[in-house]
Amino acid sequence: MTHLNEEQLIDHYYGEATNDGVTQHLRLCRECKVAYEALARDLSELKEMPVPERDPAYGASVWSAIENKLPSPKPDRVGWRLFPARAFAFAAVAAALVVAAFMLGRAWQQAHSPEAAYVVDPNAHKLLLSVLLDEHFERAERFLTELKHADETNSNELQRQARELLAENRLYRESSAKVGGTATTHALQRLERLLAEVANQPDGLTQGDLQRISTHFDSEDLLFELRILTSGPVKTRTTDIGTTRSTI
Amino acid sequence: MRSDDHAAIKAILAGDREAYGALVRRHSAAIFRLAFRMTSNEADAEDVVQETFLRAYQKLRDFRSDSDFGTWIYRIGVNCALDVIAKRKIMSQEYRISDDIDETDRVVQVADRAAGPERILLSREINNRQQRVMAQLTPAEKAAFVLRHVEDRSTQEIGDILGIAPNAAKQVVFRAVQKLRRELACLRGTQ
Repeated sequence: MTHLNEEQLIDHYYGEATNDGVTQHLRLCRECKVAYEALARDLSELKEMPVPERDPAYGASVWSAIENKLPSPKPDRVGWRLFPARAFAFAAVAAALVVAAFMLGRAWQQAHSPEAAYVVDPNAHKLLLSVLLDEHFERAERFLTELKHADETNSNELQRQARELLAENRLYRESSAKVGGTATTHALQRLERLLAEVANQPDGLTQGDLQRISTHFDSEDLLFELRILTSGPVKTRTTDIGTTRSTI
Repeated sequence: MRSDDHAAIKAILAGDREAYGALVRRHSAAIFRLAFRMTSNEADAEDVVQETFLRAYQKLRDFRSDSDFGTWIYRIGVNCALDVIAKRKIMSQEYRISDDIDETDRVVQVADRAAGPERILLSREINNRQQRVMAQLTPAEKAAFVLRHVEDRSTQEIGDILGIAPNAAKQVVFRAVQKLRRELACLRGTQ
C-alpha cells in the first residue's frame, strides 16, 4: 500500500484534498492515521494565537490618529484603472516626450524669430517631466521595498515588474540627461542597472540571487536616494532638472 | 467585494475624506489581529495598523474596482508588518527570540485572566513555545502560515495577498508547517 506523504496530509488537514481517496486511505491505513493525528496535534497547538483585545471603538481611535496625517487629496486623473498599467505608462511617457519635443521646437523657433507673438515658458516641459518622474519613482520605491522582502516564490512577479520599470526608466533617463538633471539622472542610472539585473536573470531568481542583487546594488541606499528625490516639492526637483547642481 | 467598501472608495476618490474613516473603522481590528500575529508585539502592531491605512490612502487610486478591498488592505498590512519585522531585525541583529524573553518589553503575553496560577503558567509556557517555533519562519512563511492556519484564508486569497500564485502560496504554507513541526519536535525532545 502506498502511504500518504506529509504534503497530502497537510492538504487534507486544511480541506484542500482534491479527492476522497485520502479520507478512504486514512480509514484503512493505521500508519497514515497515526501520522495524521500527530500532524493535527502539532497544528492544534499553534491554532490559538491569542491577540490583545480591542474594544468596539478601536477603529474610531485609529481614524483619529491618522486623519490629520493623510496627504491632501489629489484630483483623480483617470478614475480607477481603465487601461493596462504598462500600456498607460508607455502612453504617458510617449505623450510627455512629444510635448517636450514640441515645446523645445517652439522654443528654438522663438529664439530664431524675434517677432514671435508670445514667449514659451522654457520650464514647462521640465515641470511635466518632473511630474511623470514623481510617479515613476514611487513605483520604483514600491518595487525596491518588495525586493527587500522577496523570496523565490514571488521572483516571477518581481521580474515582470522589473521589465516594465526598465523600459520606462530608459526613456526617463535619456530625457533627464537631456535637460540636465544631474541627481535625477544619477538615480535613474543606478535604478536601471538594478532593474536590468533583476529582469535579465534567465532562470528566475534564487534566494542567493536576491541577496546578491540587494547587496551589490545597495538597494537600501538607492531606496533612500529615491525617497530624498520624491520627498521634496515638485519645484525642488524642477530645479535639479535643468541645472548641474546636485541635491544630494 | 463588499458593496459598502465599494461605495466608500468611490466617495473617497471623489474627494470625501470622511468616507475613508468608515473604511478605517471597519477594517482596523482585522489588520491589528494580523499585525499582532506577525509581529508578536502590541506596540509594533499598532504602528502597522496606522501605517497600513496611511499607505492605503495614498494607493487608493491604484485599487482595481474588481478586487476585494479586504484582501487588498491585508496585502498592504502584510507588507507593513514585514517592514517592521525587517527593521527590528536590523536593530536587534538577531532573528531568533532569545531564551530570556522580556515579557514586559518586547512581547505581550496574553494571559487568561480567569485562570488560576497553574493555568496562567501553562498558558505562558505555550505562548513562549509558540513564539520560539514561529521564530523559525521567514517573514513570508509566517505571513502565509498565519493567513492559512489562524485566519483560515484559502490558498487563492493568500496568493492574492502575498502577490504570488496560489500553488506557490500552498508551497510556502507547507514549508512553514514542516519547519514548525520540526521545531516543536526539538522542543519536546529537550523538555
